[in-house]
Amino acid sequence: MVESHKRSVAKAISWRILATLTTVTIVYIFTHKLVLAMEVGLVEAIAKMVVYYLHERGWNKLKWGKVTHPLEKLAVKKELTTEDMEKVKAQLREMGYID
Amino acid sequence: MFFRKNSKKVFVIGLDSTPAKLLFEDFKEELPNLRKMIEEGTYANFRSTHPPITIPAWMSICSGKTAGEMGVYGFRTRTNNSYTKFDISTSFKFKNVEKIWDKLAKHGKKSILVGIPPTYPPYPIDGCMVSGFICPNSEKEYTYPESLKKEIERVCGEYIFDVVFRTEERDKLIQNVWEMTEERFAVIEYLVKNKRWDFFMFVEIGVDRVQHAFWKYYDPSHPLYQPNHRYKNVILDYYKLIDKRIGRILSLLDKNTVIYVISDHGAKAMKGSFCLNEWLIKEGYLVLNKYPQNVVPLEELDVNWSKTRAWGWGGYYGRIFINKKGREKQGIVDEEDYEKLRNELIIKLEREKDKFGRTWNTKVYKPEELYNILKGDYPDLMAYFDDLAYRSAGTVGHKKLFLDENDTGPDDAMHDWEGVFVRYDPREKGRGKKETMSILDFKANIMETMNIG
Repeated sequence: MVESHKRSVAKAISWRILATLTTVTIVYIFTHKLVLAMEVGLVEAIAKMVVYYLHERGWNKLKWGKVTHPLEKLAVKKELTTEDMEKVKAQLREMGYID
Repeated sequence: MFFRKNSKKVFVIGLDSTPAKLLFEDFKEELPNLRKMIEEGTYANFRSTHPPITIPAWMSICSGKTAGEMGVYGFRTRTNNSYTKFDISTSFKFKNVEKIWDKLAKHGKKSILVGIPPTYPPYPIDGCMVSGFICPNSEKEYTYPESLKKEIERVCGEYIFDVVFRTEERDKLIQNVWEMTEERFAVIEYLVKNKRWDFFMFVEIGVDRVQHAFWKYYDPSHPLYQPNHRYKNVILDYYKLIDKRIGRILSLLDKNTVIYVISDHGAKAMKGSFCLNEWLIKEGYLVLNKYPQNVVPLEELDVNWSKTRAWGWGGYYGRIFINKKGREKQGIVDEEDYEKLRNELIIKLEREKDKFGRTWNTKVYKPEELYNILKGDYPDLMAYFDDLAYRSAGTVGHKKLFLDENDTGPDDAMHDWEGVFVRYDPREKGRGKKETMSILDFKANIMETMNIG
């Protein structure tokens, strides 16, 4: 199944919040400087969100490891024309399937 | 999955409308190839779905989904809560439903499909497709890939999808249906021999046509039974033709191919038609501005919608729609009265007597009783008159409640609940007769045979 762009973005954001809080906590434990910890967290959050999104889309381009229908990119042909639909209706009427 | 050891092929013989009793009891001894598969394989009565109608029943077989899940309730389905507009159930209506061949394609398996209802218009699959009988004529594109059409025409000339079977010209019908079936089997043999496939499935609609046209010459329980008529053996002779052609196909298949013989529903004698809209008029649910001089369909009726509470559709089962306030354009039935009205209609219809004044076995269902999921414009009630022995006539102008025959032309047979299921594996002894199976389990059975989870 192909992942949509929106879903990849949503996952990037939720993961980023969690990962940044982790980074801020670790920097604070090492430095005991809250402002520095938050600055590192902010820079890291923005940079890695972009990198994560690119990484995700990159993987989506690879077919390896995915089970896909070989024709899934081909659209089902469009519905019948009005003229053909009328012919089908007339035929079904003749057969007694519709009254 | 990369090292799957078992890769059996599957060949499915679809006989539209073959009843269990006819194949497993009445005709079995006369059909050597089918008898061999029944006796050496596993077989069961094959319980159809609600409603037991060609479309959607074949799609239920191929997808494992109910009509409710697919949002398709017959050859036509109402659209946009309209009083008269409906959609025809073409292949397009099932585009989002995963069929056997869609799942197989994901596992690299190729399919060939011939005549499965509805596969018109044709659409791309991993393999080949020849459309079924709603295709208007062979001038249309009816194959995938499109180039296959030329190959088919080289095999059989102009491809025949169906025959006119509601006719009094029965000799001509016999000639036409034999020709159609011989051609179809020639195409099937060509595809078996010349194309790559793991899954092959075809449906022969001729079985249904012959039964509809000749049942009264075969079945003594038919109200219009004509004993010792020259047509008395037409149905049996047609099955012999099918059996002979199946024998030729079997000789082309290897021992690694598992063969299934299935039908979408059964058939039985038609007792007549119940004029659903005439009944609704008589009971005061359907109100007309003017009763028609001639017999006309609903679309041509002068209906007073502002006073109508319910109206119906004809077919092998009856569909009843409630003129509900806020849903229909001129709806008058309030939400709080909706259930009461539905219950009232169920009680009255089930208590009605048949045309001889006898109690009948009519069942009227609310769709939510039949389906866990309801999609599309489903009817408010679904009625099987005398357990399908009576057809529902939607036309008005008959000035009576019962007709001896179909209101849309000559017809001897009605659909019935139980079709056939036979599974024959040349490498494995079958288990004889099993308990009744649901057609909804067929897809899973194929996946198990082909070792696909």
